[in-house]
Amino acid sequence: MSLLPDIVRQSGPFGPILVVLGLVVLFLTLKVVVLATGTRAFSVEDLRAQTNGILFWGTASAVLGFLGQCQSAYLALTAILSATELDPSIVAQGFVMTFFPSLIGLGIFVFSGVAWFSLRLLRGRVRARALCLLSILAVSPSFGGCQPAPESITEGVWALDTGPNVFLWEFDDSEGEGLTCVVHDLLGGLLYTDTPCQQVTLEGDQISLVMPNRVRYEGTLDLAGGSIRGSLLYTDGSSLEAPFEWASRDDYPTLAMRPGASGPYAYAVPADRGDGLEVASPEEVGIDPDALEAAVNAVLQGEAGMLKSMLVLREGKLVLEEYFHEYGPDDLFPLRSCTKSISSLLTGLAIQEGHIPGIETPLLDFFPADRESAGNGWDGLTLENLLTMSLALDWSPADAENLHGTGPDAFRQILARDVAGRPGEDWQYVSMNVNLLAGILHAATGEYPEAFAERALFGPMGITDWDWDGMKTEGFALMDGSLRLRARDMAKIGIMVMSGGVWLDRPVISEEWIRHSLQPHLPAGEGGETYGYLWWGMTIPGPAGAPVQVSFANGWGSQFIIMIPRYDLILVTTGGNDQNGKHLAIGQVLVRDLLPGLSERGGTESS
Amino acid sequence: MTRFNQTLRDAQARLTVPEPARSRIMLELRADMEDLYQEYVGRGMQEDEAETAVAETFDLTDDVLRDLVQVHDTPLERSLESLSLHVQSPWSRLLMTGLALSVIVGSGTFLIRPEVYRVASPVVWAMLPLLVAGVWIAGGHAFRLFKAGRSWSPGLRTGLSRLLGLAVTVLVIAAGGLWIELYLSALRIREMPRETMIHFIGWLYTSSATLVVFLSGALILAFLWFFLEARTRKLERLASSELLGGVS
Repeated sequence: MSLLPDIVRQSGPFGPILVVLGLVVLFLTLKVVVLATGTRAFSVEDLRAQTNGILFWGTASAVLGFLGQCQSAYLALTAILSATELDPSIVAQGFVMTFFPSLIGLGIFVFSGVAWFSLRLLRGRVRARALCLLSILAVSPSFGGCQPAPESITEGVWALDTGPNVFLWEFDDSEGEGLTCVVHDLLGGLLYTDTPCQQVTLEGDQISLVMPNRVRYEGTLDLAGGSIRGSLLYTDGSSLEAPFEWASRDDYPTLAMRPGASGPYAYAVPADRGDGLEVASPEEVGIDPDALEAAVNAVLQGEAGMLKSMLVLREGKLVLEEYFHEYGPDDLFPLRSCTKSISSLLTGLAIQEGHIPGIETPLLDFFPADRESAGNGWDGLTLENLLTMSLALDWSPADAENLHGTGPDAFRQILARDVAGRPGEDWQYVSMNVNLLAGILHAATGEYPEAFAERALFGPMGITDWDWDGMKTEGFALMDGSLRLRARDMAKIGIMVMSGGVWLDRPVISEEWIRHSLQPHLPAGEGGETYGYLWWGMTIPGPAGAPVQVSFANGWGSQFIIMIPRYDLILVTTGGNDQNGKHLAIGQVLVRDLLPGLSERGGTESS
Repeated sequence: MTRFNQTLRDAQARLTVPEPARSRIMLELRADMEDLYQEYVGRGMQEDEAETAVAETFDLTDDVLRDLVQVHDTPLERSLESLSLHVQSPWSRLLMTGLALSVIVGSGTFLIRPEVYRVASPVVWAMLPLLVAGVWIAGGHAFRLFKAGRSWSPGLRTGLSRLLGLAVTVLVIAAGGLWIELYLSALRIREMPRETMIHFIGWLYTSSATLVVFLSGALILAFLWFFLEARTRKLERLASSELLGGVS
């Protein structure tokens, strides 16, 4: 029993390190076995990488062991050559000991090699057959087992694994509208977006449909073989072979809203995570729990499209925190254009700290080097025009909709546009313009937006886990849409804004700035919405039919921080409703299920 | 800048190459397109014209994409990818850092002994310029990464694999050194057959010292490569997700 510890002890300084490496190899092996045989979805690339990792650390052990042996041999020979008397048995014993590090390293390497080879074999078809056999033998009920071929195209899903993304087609013909199809896009095993495909036709075994990116797919359905063989046909005439394999929906548990859950949804008070967000039961804040259950059930039935999280707060307390499709409270969600509203808060903070004289400051004051090359009409443009999306620049409609970018080049590109309308009056949603705020904040505060946000906003609010690296250029964050936050931190922002700039009794931003930010400055869009300082506003029908004023941060795909001062209510959602027409579908759930469940308790019409 | 994002996303969907080569191709394409765009604008073209001209120049048909894949997805690149994959996660970086420190400390106590160099084969001195070159390359790369901050820029990866090349060269020289020493020992044994054991033990002694020096040098170069590669790849991944992720 004591042989192994003795060998480790006599292996010199690398002995303990080799033991750690051995444990790592063992752990990785177990992890891959669990991953490959469990029910949780995984990417094939990830599994391959983890399997190779076993061999990698095994090889590292062998190299380290060999280095240890060389060192031991050198020390032993130095002792032998400098000794005046030698006992051959001691010399032999010492010589054997020099091999210990190598033996341990090689042992780990051999184990890792065997594990790697076995796990490589247990992949693809061989793995499928092996698991099938195991399931027949009932070795483990968790194994996938033998999947029968589907009886129709509407059974299960059809998968195309491209590496980071797995695309799943799911067909349906139960709605009486012929065959329809949804593309589920899984990123890292988690559902990212759901998008319907168009013009689905199945004639005999020939299938054709149009993908969300307007690329046509034509292929042949082989039900018995569980595959669709075909190609993506691009508009430029080129094509790409794209074979889809049939899979059970259970193979992708994150497709389900509540993976692994059984029985109807039952409300539970959110957990207090000690992050400053106070939790309460619905009764404490005057919400009917049945209303919360009804809202969540509506979401679970798909009425709000594909939601990833949904939080409800009243009187500054969290009463509902639900995550779907295996997302959780520690996940960072892309805020998309809700980022603009955070950028607005940062602008207010820069004014409050005295870095910016005021909202009427001419924009060119922040870009003196570009004054000469700026387009026509820039002399009259102010920070307020920028925050209210009323710069009235001559962007083409396509640029206004699609162009993003930040950094000095992007600033110059914006500044080069001419004013083509009436600044301060003509509202046009141009995401790109908002990125000027990165340059403005940097010029005014001397800090890059990310650093300023951390110091002035996120730090004071205890928001520690966030990411604003997306598309960052030369230190300038993308102010129009790349911030990622936890859903709970989005809720904190909502509380602070609806409390007039106060978080946990400490003022963060002036109440005056918040009021001006949320105040409707211009009509926006065609649905009666209004626009403040990068915050949206609108009225929705209240429970009694009377209109209720709502302010909200609005990010494409159902990223929302919705604030209803009248009821002191905040609704936070994140979602993947990018191209399925359900971006605003949560509004229906809010009006129909949530608002009627609120008791009258002292809210205000304006914050 | 993201004016070519849609074109690149379309191309990305048709690229039959695994990550991270796909991201790398996309990033390089974007940088090249952007450079050409700036050149066209500099020549006096209107922005819309320049965009169209760039799109026409970069006619990303399937044949072109296949050529790009062939250039970027060589067996060597794939091998290096599979190596660098294992130092991407925080725990593996921590483990690799621990491993590097243990090698530095464990071997350092040997490498500071002058007698090691007296015992080792003279070829150990051939490692010195290689090690200096490696540290120079690593330093230059680290400086580029420091300057880049958290943003990707074209050419960030240039020359990085030379570090591994140097590590392999060090090992080849070590093998050569051991072979030369064995040959010399054999010559000595031929002259004095009665002292065979002494010369053989002497060869073992020289070999152990030589290998400690060479292996330590090669491992240090490999560790430098791992850490720089991990950082470079992280930047590429970030830039790629920005390029292909999009915002509302």
